[in-house]
Amino acid sequence: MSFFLPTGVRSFFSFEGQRAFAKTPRRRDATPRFLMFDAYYFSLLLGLREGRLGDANRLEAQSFFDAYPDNYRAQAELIAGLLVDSELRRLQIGIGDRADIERQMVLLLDLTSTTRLSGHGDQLLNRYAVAGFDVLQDGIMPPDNLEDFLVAYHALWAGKDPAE
Amino acid sequence: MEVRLTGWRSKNIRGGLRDLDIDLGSDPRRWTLVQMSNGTGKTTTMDLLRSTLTGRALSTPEVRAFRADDLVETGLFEARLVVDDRPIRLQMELDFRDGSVSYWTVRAETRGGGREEGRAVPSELRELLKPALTELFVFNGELATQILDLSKSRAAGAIRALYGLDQVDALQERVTGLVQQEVRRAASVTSAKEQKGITQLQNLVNEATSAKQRLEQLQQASAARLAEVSRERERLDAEITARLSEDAGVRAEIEALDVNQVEVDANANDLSTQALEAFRRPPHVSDLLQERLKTLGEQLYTLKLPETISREFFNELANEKLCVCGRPIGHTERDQIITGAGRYLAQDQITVINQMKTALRDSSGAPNVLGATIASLQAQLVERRKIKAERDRLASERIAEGDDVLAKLRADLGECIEEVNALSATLERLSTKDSIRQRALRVGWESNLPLCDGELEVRKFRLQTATKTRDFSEQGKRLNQIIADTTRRALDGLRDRVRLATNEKLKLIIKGEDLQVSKIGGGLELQSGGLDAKAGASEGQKLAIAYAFLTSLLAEAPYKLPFIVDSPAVSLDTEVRREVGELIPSFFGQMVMLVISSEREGFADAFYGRAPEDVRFLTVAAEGGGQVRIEEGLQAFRDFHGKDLTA
Repeated sequence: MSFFLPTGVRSFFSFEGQRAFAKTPRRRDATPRFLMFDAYYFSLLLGLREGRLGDANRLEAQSFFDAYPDNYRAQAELIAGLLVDSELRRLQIGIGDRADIERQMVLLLDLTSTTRLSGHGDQLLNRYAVAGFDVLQDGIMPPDNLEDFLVAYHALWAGKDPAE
Repeated sequence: MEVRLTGWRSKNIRGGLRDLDIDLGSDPRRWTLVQMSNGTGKTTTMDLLRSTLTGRALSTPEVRAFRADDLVETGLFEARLVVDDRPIRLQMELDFRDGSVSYWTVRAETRGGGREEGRAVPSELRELLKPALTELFVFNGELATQILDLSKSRAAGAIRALYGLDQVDALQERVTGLVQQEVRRAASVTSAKEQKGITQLQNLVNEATSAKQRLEQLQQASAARLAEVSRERERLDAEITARLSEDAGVRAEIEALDVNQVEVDANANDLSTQALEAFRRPPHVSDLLQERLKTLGEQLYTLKLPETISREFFNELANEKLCVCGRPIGHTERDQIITGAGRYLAQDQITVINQMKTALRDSSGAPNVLGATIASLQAQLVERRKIKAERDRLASERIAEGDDVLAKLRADLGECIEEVNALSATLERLSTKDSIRQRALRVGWESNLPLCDGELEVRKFRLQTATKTRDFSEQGKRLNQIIADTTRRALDGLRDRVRLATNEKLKLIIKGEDLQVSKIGGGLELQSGGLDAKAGASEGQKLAIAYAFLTSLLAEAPYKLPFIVDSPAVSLDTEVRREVGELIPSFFGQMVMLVISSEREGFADAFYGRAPEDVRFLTVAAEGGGQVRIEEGLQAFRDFHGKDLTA
């Protein structure tokens, strides 16, 4: 598995090396660390929500990470589940279409991979991240700090809940 | 190595060559005089010998000019050789109908009848059988004049051809071809191959290098200044706080704000940490994601996905004798089971789907908890802004009351913040690698370090390519110059060597006059008595000089060659003729002379007294209708009365 960042993500989150929000003076207190993978994942969730694939040409040329970081390892099956769900929606596979669902799962999943995704699944995940980053850029301005970002990001999900 | 002529044969050729076979024997004598009257094909025989030996292409008119009469359709000429004791027959077949010519080689040791198309002779001999060399030993009488003609280059040409210097020209062409190939290859990168173009490319590299140095210096200076200004900002912040704290009432308010600030920051950090952890778990992000995950999980249970029976189960079952139901499994059943197994998932596929299914079923989130955390965080951020506004208010009030020092500090802080922002923007312009950001900021290689690095690499590559091409081209020129110098020096040395050998022979042939070759340029330059260049020599002297030159030259050939000559003495006066007849034959290992009856006096008769095992006399007499009669022996040779013209 290789994760590729959508181009523009580093700049949006003001990454300098591995440090996000680098333009803002560092505070003395210990703010939680926002990972580069967080930037990828926050984009990815929006892309999966929208069920839209972005252009693979808008990914960086080099992968930035080859496996889930510790904070995400336990979520591998759920992220794989969200990918399967988005693909079934995108391909308009009906909920009772047993054979097609099974075929998609076989296509997307791989037991031997740390992400539980096949090579094809990996590629799709990266492309969903591209589409999600577009949603992110359209919805909020480049943030100065983590707190402002978390609040703004949460607002992007408001109104999307099925109950509302 | 030696080549000897053992005979020739002609068929359906004009003149006396309609049906001629001259046999010199398998071990031909050193000298053979073939007396042929005019019109019996001496000149044609010489032409055919040259063409057959060289295998040269003939035009249709040339082919048809050899035709004996309109009734014959094909013709043949064959030269018989012994090459290092191995007989070889070289044939020329003429087709008078379409005017074509084909060449064949007949060798005894070759399978399939021993006849093959083309010239199958040793490669060193093939090099000698080129037109320019063949006419030296199947001697063209006109060559004698041309060798002496300074305006022509036959003498030098003969030396070049014999010593293979022609092949050096091909080497030069190869070098030139390689250089051109390299230039074409490099043209896709840069068109520069001369020094001027390379200087321009070097200037472009220097320009990009300077730009890089300038940008690196600017980056260092900006980063250093940013660190300095950031410290200044902290100092001003602290000083402003200290200044405000000088007033006891304000100090109490500030201390309260500080306490509040610490608490707000701590809360904000805790809440940020909680929120970030929640965001990292998809079911906690939103009800939408949670519901999707649950729905998918339920769907898998409803559809009973994945299959509980794996492909492996059926593959194993197919190897059993009895089915699980107890019935025997035969070939037909076995095939059916194996075919059907393909419809089921493999065990690892079932495992991964089951893992996901379990995770989906067990997934639980609390998006409302995240919502509450975010709301709390938002409240803390509002509180933080309030604290800042309160600090600003306190400062503004003091300034309004006339605290110029505080006003100055605030102004300085404002400037400081502006400078921090400006420096941050400069550093981003200088260092961003993000192509979208680069376009948004409208930076180019002259203002952005990553782009400058890229441009510098491209320019260096062009320069290296052009420099390599230039060097390669220069090396090619030098190599060609070395080849040309070597050829010239070799030719000079060879000319001198041949000249000295020629003069040795001239001393023997032309005793009455001190005639010498002073220089071999394009032709032979002569001098008499060591004083003046000889403007002209008699026809006999020309022939003698030419023979001396040729024998000296051919003595160096890798093969000893036969010398075949047509009317060798016809233009010489009787005295010189006798000397030529006595001296020249000793220069050659085998000499075949086609003579007319008028050459007997003075020239041919010089051979009458030689040992019979060394000399052979043949006479070809015309019998009309293109037919000839061949008579053997000295008596027939001496008694022959042909209709010769002495011209």
